[in-house]
Amino acid sequence: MKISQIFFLSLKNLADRKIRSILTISGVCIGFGFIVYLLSLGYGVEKLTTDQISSPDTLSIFEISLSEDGESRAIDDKNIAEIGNINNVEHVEAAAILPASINVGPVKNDTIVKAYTRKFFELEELKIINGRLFIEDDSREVLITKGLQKILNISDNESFFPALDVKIMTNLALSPTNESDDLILIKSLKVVGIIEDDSPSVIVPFKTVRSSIDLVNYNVARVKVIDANNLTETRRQVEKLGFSTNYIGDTVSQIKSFFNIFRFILMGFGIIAMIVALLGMFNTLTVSLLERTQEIGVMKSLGAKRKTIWWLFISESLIIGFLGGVLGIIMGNIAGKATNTIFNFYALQNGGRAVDFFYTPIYLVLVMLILSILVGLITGLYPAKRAVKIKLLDAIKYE
Amino acid sequence: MINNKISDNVVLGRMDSHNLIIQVGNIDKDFEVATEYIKVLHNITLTILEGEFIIITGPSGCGKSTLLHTISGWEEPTFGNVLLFGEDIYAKDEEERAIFCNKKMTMVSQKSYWVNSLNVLENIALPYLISGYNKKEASKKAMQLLNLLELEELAYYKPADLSGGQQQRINLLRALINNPDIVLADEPTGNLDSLNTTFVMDLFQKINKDLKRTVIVVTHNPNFLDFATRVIIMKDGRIADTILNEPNFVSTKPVGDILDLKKHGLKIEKKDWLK
Ligand SMILES: Nc1ncnc2c1ncn2[C@@H]1O[C@H](COP(=O)(O)OP(=O)(O)OP(=O)(O)O)[C@@H](O)[C@H]1O
Ligand SMILES: [Mg+2]
Repeated sequence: MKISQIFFLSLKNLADRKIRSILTISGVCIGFGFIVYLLSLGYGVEKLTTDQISSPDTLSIFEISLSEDGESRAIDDKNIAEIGNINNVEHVEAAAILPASINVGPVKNDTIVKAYTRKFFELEELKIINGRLFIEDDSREVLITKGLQKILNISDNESFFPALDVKIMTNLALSPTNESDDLILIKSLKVVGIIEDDSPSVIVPFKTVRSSIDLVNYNVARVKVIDANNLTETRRQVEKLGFSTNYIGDTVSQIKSFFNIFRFILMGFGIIAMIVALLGMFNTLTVSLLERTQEIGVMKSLGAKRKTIWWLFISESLIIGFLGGVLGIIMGNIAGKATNTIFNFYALQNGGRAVDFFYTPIYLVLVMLILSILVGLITGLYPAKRAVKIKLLDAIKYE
Repeated sequence: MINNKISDNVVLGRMDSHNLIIQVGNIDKDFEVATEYIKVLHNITLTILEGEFIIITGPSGCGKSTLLHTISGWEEPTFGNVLLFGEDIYAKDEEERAIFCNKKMTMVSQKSYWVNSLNVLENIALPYLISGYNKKEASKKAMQLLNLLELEELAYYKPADLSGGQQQRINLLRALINNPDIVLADEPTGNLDSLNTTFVMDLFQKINKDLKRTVIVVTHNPNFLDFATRVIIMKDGRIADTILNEPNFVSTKPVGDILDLKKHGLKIEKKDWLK
């Protein structure tokens, strides 16, 4: 008997016992759906976090900052040159971050000024969502964050971007020649772009700031290495020189290991649901075997081979497993997307941000599909083996 | 009545190697019941010629069904052997035997058993599908068979919803779809009224007379004994007597296809009971 015909026969049999088939398939579907839902949630939240690593370059850059206790070495031109001489260092770029207030016409607001070079901007991998970067490191152009744009109520239309005045509060550590807490005014800086960031700050070209303030020390620098695999070693060398460093890779691996445990726990719940579903499926197949003893006898009396009888049961459980799996993947996804949408709806209403914390990697779908087929095969093995063993005459001779 | 030993010799005397279709040789069958063995068949020897119509009869429990099952390849004898077209079927393993026997013969049972999820057409087509034909060929053939008995309107019913008479006709069609050389039947009319009984027995006779198929029917019904070329009467697991209805029976080869019955003037009288 052709395999396609055996599958057809199994489908007929499942259709003949509709309610039971639907219940069984639903059970498997819920099991798979639950696993897909939970795992996708785990992957989604992880992705949300690790997505902050925007490019492969991210992992070859680390940051030098001033330690909280003030013990670390100052970041100045001489020290930067020293770091630049370390093997494996491709480039070092420094920047200064200073408290400030800004004026746009009559509106005044406290904010932070970030004195960045174009190069530093690039190394920080900031994302411009509207407009462009300043042209030169001494241009009288600035970028503002989305957070500040909101506060100042600035339109999204580039041609309406205003000019602003900044008043920078000097700092002895950075500019020892200035008076402490002096307010240095830099007038009419044209806003040319908006960057994706919810905290309010202004990015001013580095040299534009330095022409007004006598900057000697900086409070942050970024180091790009040639070979990211040796970054740890380079970073150690830099720390030996007395600097404190941060590396996003640290956070990423922490997040990864956290989510591995998280997924494991979610998986545990899913597996419990799955086991319940499998018991249901096994029960259905066993009952089906008992009910169909006579049919197996008929098939045998009409010349069906053992292989045919075996496939008859395996195909039935494969169909249940596969349908349950496919529906489960779909249901898990729909449920996840729905949760996400409802969450975002409330988040947006309460002034939050819409995020995708639900993500099903394609390989998860494939693994689940293969798993559903395996599950079908394995649950079918025992009933199939018993069906093959049924003796023709035992099955049909006596009622 | 002629003694069993003599009659078998009579048959043997008229045989040549070509027309021996079934040879049952010195068969014993013991069944294990609790710790005891019960002998159900005692040293049965039976030679059947191609084209014969054999009726096996005898009191209940005398071993008729068991004998038929040993011939069909379903029940291995404790002792002795069964040759089908000269081949010892119990020398083959179970799977080979099933394939070999199903190619040559078919069994019609008293009660019809169905694959319940399939309709009439699909049930009839089943042996054809099992033989490896595709669905289209099988459905076509099954429909032709339904047409033969003018039962097309039952094609899409579930067999279990039909009357006993209708079911037995469908059962017959299913048994015949592979165009077997030998038709075995175990009390095929046991559950039927006299109209249906006559129809079924007439059909067996036609299959034997017109298509020259070998037919072996187990029956309690004494009304049709003269359809047979030979009547075998069993008692307590032995052949007690043989009636030779055609002492000069000449063996024949099968001709044509089951569907040819129409050409041979198969008459169907549509009766109310078909509804
Ligand atoms: N599988 C079995 N196990 C034990 N005993 C069996 C088995 N099959 C048949 N028998 C016994 O063998 C004897 C013959 O049975 P069989 O069915 O061949 O009789 P029969 O002539 O066909 O009877 P009936 O006319 O009632 O159908 C009976 O006593 C029966 O109980
Ligand atoms: Mg019987």
